[in-house]
Amino acid sequence: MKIFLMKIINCILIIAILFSYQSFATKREREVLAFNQKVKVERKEWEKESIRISGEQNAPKYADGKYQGTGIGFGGKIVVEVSVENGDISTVDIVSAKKETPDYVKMMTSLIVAIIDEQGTDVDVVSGATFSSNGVLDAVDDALSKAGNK
Amino acid sequence: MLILRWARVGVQMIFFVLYPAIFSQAFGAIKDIATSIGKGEAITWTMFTTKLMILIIVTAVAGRVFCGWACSFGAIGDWMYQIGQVVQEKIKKKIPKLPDKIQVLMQKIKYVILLLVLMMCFIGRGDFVTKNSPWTVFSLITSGGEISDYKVGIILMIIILIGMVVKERFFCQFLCPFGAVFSLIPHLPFIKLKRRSETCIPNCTLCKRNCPVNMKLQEDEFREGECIVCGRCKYGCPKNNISIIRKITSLE
Repeated sequence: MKIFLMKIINCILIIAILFSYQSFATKREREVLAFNQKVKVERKEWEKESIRISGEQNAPKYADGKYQGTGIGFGGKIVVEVSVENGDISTVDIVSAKKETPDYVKMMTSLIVAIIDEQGTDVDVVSGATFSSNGVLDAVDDALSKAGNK
Repeated sequence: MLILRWARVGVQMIFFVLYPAIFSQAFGAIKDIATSIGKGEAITWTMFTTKLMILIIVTAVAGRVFCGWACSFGAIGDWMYQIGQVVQEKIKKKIPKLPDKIQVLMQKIKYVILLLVLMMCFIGRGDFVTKNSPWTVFSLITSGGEISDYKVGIILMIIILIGMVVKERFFCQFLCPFGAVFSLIPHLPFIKLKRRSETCIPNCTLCKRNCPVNMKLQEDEFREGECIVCGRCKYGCPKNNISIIRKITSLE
């Protein structure tokens, strides 16, 4: 009985610690996100301003079209197709990921959203699916290398 | 009692075919939590976290039924041991039994492994664990992936397989970090294997000798978390003293 009580107390302690950590961390993350958003908006405005002054537009980073690329995920090849429209990455589709567990492929949705948001592969991997994430990122890099401005 | 024995084999097989990755995914959620805290980031809730929560709740209510009945790695352990038993019978040679004290001592190794894994994740080297883990090799085999890149994992897996033949539930009781987590979870006293000790034959240790984790129920509360609800104690008892339902007499 003594040990049972001890285990319960431990459990409650761990849960309490995790919860307080979580509320603290989410609060901080929200602040960081808000700050980043602000920086992004400012940078966009600044870019617009510089274009207006210099009178010329920067050449788009990527040429329009659809590009396929491959990367190595958890158990094998991952093939993605990246579409570029008006010089921007518009969609990323996973064409095949045969050796990847479906659960992991589902988790890639948030990664793809991040890639499109960032217009590149400088994004954080999905926790719990590091191998699949890196596979997708490599594949997108591979595809974008073909989309490079010629 | 034969029904119970075969029911367990059946359930293990069903889970092995349908959900061989639950244990590694749910434990992955624990690793993710440690990693997130190490990085100072918020913990993200994934479908693995959901699986972890389900397993924790099941264990708190019914004990380590997952370990004994559903975990695919545990099932492998049982099957390897059974093969070993058959071979030993054929060649008429027995592997000597592990002394009780050493067995109990070795059961503590898993806590050290759990601590090491969590620490590695905390300092941001969780990928090192994943790359060298025998579980990664196991997941790759069950999902049909390429394993040649995971040499350390393959070697560890072979050692574990040999251990499984030698000692029943070798990995589960000695090494499994998830088992360490389970044994620390408080097990509510309702759905639980219980021994009616009043009618026990004095000095009888049949249940203890049948038990893969070398335990006599209600003898040592400290080790109660080792029980994987395999039911071996129940179908060995000559007095039928072990039951999952609380006996009215023990309430008085």
